[in-house]
Amino acid sequence: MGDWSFLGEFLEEVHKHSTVVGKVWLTVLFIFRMLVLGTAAESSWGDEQSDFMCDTQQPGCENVCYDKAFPISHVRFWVLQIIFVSTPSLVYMGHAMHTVRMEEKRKMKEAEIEAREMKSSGDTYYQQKCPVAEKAELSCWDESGGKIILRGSLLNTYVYSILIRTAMEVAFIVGQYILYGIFLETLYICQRAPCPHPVNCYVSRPTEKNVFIVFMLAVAVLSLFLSLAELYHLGWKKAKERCSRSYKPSPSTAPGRLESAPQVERAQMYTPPPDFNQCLSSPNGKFISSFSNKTASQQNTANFATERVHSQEDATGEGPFIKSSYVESPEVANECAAPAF
Amino acid sequence: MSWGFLRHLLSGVNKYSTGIGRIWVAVVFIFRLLVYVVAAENIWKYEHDEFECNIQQPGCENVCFDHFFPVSHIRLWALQLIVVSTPSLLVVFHVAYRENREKRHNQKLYKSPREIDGGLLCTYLISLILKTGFEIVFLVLFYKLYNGFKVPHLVKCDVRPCPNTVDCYISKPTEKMIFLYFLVATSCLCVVLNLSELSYLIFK
Repeated sequence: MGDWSFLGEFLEEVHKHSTVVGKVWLTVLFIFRMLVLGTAAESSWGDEQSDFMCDTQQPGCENVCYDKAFPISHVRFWVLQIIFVSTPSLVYMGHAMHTVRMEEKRKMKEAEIEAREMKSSGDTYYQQKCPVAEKAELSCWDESGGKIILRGSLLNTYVYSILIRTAMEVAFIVGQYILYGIFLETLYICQRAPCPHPVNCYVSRPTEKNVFIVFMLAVAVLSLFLSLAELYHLGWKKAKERCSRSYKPSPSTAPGRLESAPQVERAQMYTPPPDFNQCLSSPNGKFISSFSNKTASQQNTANFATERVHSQEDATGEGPFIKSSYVESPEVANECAAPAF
Repeated sequence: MSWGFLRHLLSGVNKYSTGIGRIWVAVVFIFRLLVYVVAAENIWKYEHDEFECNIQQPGCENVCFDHFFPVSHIRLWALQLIVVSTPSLLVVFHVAYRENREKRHNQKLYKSPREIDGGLLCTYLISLILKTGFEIVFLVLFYKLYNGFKVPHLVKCDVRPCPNTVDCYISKPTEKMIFLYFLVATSCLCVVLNLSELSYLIFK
């Protein structure tokens, strides 16, 4: 039995960062393709050449006829199909991990810079409170490392990965049809040197193989359908967001308005997380006024960065496509809560 | 055949790799190791039994097979995977040595464990150069041994005790050729990844 765990471990990670349809697709891949291939199909094709019989005594004729009948065995073809169809998801996974890492690095650097600045500014009250806030900010991000928001370039990568996956699926289905047609015939007539004349060759277990061929073809079509459904789902949500955006005024345009922003900022990857803002908007008014200018300018910088990156998309109040990245700390449970799927 | 040890080793190295290094590990795991274990092993499983010569002379098939396949493709593939992954051991040893020293002196000897710096960078660069070198060596070996990655369906053999030039037929030549080309393509991809990682680290 083949050991698919090499690929399985990578795909487990992808599972966490996918939409609902994506998760279904991955489950179909794991169970109906990998598992079936590894357990049942492999043993069915196990004796494919040893039991491939040709009606001739000519040495070498069976070898060359088998080679002509099956340039690549079905099981190997399906192995390559699974690998190539899974690869785009891994590319998306790589991008997501890279984004998470870059974001973590940026936040750490910001925290370091702020700590240094605050130390030099001599504001003792802030020094007491802010390290806690920074820690919370970092832990909020780290904790949320399991989830990523699908926006901007990451969304583009996700869509491209689904498109390529769909193209691969179609290519392999068409390829299988071109190589073998749909069903396997019991009798194969072979004419190739050194066979002295057209020879009858008999395939081993043709009915059992046909059952598996039809099964794998059906699963491939189902996967194709799921990929298309996911594309439609993403496209529809995008269009819906655009419509609602053009209908309602955006709440995020005012810089420095931090209290109203948490839901919006939750949806953006390059702005301070709500936890930090909640620290600022705590009942201590003194707390806010002492460095509101700094945070306002920070907000401005973040907004400029966001506009540069998300050239086409604005933040909206709509829920992201998958779970939000921030896990709540007890004081800010309501603000940080993610819309669950 | 258990590849778990190699998997464990490469996963451990992942922590200290650059982004390109991680891509290299993913390529090795999925496109080389997985394909080897799940597909390629089965193709070459009965290669000797299915190798047939047009002769009744006992022993002729054996010597002809041995003549044309001094080292089977699949064994060479496995050796390549092992040898190419081994330079990563250097990095693992260096990290273990460093952690040992930190424990003994009870202090952090370097800035941060995640950054590649100084000595570790040197070790990493050496491992990259070795990996690239081994890849190229094995590709050249494949080319020389098997006349350019081709697997013919018919070979002519006149090694004793075969009484004359005998036709011998190799099993599944097309499928073997497809997977050989796949091997070559992934090897070249890994060489490209190693070289780009090398240039990235040197010119950073």
